[in-house]
Amino acid sequence: MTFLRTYLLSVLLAIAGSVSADGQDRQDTSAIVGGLCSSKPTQMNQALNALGSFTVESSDPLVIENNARWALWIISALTKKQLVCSPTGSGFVKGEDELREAVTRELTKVDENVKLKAPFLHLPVRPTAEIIAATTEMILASVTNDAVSDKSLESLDKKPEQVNSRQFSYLLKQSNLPERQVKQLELVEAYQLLRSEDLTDYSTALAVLRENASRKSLTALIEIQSSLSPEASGSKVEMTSNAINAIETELQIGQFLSVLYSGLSYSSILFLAAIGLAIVFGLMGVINLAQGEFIMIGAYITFVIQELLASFAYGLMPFYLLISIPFVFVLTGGIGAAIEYSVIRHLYTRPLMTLLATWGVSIFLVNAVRVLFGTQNLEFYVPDYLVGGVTLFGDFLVTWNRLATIGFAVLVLLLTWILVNKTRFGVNVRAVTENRNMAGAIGIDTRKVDVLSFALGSGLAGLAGLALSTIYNVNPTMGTNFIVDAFMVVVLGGVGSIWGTLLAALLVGIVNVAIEPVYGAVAAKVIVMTLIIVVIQFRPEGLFSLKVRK
Amino acid sequence: MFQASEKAGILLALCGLLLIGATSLGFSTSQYAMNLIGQIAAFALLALSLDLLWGFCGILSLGHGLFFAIGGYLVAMHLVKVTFDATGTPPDFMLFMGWDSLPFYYFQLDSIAYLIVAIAAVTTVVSFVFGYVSFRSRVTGVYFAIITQALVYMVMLYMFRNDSGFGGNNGMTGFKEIFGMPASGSTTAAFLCGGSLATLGLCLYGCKKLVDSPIGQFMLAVREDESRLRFLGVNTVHIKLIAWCISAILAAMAGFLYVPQVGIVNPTILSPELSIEIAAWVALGGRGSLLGPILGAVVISGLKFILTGLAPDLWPFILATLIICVVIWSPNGLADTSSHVASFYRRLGSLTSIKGRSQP
Repeated sequence: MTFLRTYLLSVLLAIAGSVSADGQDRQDTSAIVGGLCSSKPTQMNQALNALGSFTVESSDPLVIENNARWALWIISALTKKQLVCSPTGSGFVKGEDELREAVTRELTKVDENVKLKAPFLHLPVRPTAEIIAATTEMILASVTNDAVSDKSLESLDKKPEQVNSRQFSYLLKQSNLPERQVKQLELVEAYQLLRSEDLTDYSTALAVLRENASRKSLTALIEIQSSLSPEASGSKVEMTSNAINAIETELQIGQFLSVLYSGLSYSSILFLAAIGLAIVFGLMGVINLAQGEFIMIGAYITFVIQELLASFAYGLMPFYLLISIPFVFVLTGGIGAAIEYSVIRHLYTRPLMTLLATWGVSIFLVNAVRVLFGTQNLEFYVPDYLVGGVTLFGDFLVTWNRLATIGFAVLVLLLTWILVNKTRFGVNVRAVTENRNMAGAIGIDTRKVDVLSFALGSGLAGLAGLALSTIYNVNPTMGTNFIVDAFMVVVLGGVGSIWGTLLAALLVGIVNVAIEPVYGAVAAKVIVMTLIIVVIQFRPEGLFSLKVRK
Repeated sequence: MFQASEKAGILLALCGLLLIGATSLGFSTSQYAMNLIGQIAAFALLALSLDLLWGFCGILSLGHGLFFAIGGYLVAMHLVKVTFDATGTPPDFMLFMGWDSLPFYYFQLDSIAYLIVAIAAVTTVVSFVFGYVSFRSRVTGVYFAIITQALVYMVMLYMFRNDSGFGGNNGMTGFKEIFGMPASGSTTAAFLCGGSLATLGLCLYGCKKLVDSPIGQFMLAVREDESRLRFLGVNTVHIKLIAWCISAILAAMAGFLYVPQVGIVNPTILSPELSIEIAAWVALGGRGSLLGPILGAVVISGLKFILTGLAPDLWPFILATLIICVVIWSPNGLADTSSHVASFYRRLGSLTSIKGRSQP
């Protein structure tokens, strides 16, 4: 009894006597670990926040580094269920076959009778843990002069209101961040300042949010607006509604731009598919119902090349799309030439019969591919440089893969134009289109022109398949999705005209993409059909028809 | 006296009537066979309708499935309405949408007379409006084929919607009673089959009369040289419209006969593939002959019924090869076979006669 009393007294004296920084820390940290061990969501959140503040308590970089490392260690243990607690509330971290004391990080042993239990990670605790870990990582990076990872910035961006304010104000004071990341931090700060009572802070926050208009900032502002009481803060109400209006306008413009953008990318595919149809139709009066299947074959050849590269030359994988271009063009063109030679040349005088014959070809191709590859959608590897995009205006995200498609179509357009207008082959094509007999009479090999242009048309459709492989679903029956639109483009644009096909592809593509999300696919088709019927009333041979002797 | 197609028409009609008569006297038949023959007869009527347009007026429609579907959907709506009146519960597709009664356009459809009037009216209005707009602006040939294809594709997209009241992508099925008969059973199948055969026969006979009439001669003239006919002062729009509307009504009748026999209608009958397949029947059978396309429809859909069961993977290849070969080597389809055979015999005959002469 006496022994116990003296012992307690001496402990108390020791604590009172030496309120050193170290001892204070030890108390803080064991309180934090105790909070984490409580298994109660509010206490755990408080503990996590205290852990966050604890990392930036000292101004000594070495101490900060040390504390941040410890905090990260604890949080990662917590999320991996390696943090275990004794019934008395002291925590340990389980390693592979070791146990460390949570506060001191020292190796320790626990009596086997003591039951160690990992605290339950409640749903509201998880985002807090993630955010504190992210800010702590950033602090650690700023102390050790490493680059801050974008990933931790992104997780801050997801739940800006939960960021620990002390950690955050420390971070804002750091000057070694790149400008882009500073901007992102400012945005996160703005979300926090929205809750501030100070009018200048509030207006700064609004200005920053206005600059970074997005759906999220809009919802945040609308939430704030509904919580404001009008008589208490008149100017605040006005400022908020102004900001909301500005953001809404910007979002609408951004949405308009993104519709235009995805319309453009769809148009590019349509153009690639239809230009071949238009040339062949102008030249031979032949409508090729198998054009959609050439798109499909192009995509499948791309897939085969991807698989070959994956097994034989893995290093070239990121460039498989570029490597595929010549193969796709030549192989699809070759298949097209073979079909022209074996089937279509017998049918020049009977254009309606070619419809049926090419339909037969298309059934054949679809089923051949189905037997060889199966009916499931193919999985394409998307190279890193095509992933993601850049946000330009409001919600308007310019994705790299669609941009690549558009650029590719423009390139093909230029090359086709040069081929048709500046080369001998192009002169021959145009001559045969205008008057087949006369062209033959002056020594043009019309048969050769036919085969080559059919091959060209098929090859271009194959390239369309390559271009859409990372955007749309690729399966044996994908061709039918494009063929009706491609025909509409040809009918609308006029046969054998590159510019007509381009204009019609833009019209059909953008109308389709703009109308579909709002009024449905039917309305889009109805509008395109009406457009075609109206155009045909005035220009029966399409928008840009060549004057051709019949 | 009678020409081959007239004879065949009368024969088919008599067969159909005989079947109906025998069944009502208690003669029992195989339900499967009756169903198969009845469906093929409906397809044959569909082929006949396109042949009248393409073979005799030179207009290829790749959207004839639209009129087939108008007939089919209206008769399905009638059957749904009758089932609803009998049971009081709306069909599944309406329960999914949370509707407890039929939409207004099912009004009065339980009466068969109204149904027939509705089919005729809807088909005529749709075909007339579309035909008038296209023919007036002189959309011809491949352009017309493509536009009709786009039309049928468009309607298919609409029918795939579940809020249209036409069953959406699952279509309409689960009919309890067909024209006062139980929905399944060999008697019903035999009656429907007999009805289809009789209708096919009568339509064949009527088509023969039509193509022999002055209007039919004008249709042939449009096919041969439309510009010349126009220069002669004939309004070709009227002729083409007549051919187009009659053809549409025949196709709608085919749909009217087809749907009760299969017991379901869904948007796949609006797919461009079916419409092209109709053109394939006609091309394989022989355009410009009335019996050829019927034969084409019978052969191809018969083969399809047999082969999709036996070798489902092989059937598309056979169909494709058949189409390509016939289109290349036999421009008028199977109807050419007789002339191929005749020329073969002629050659054989001339060979033997040369031999005969060389041996004096």
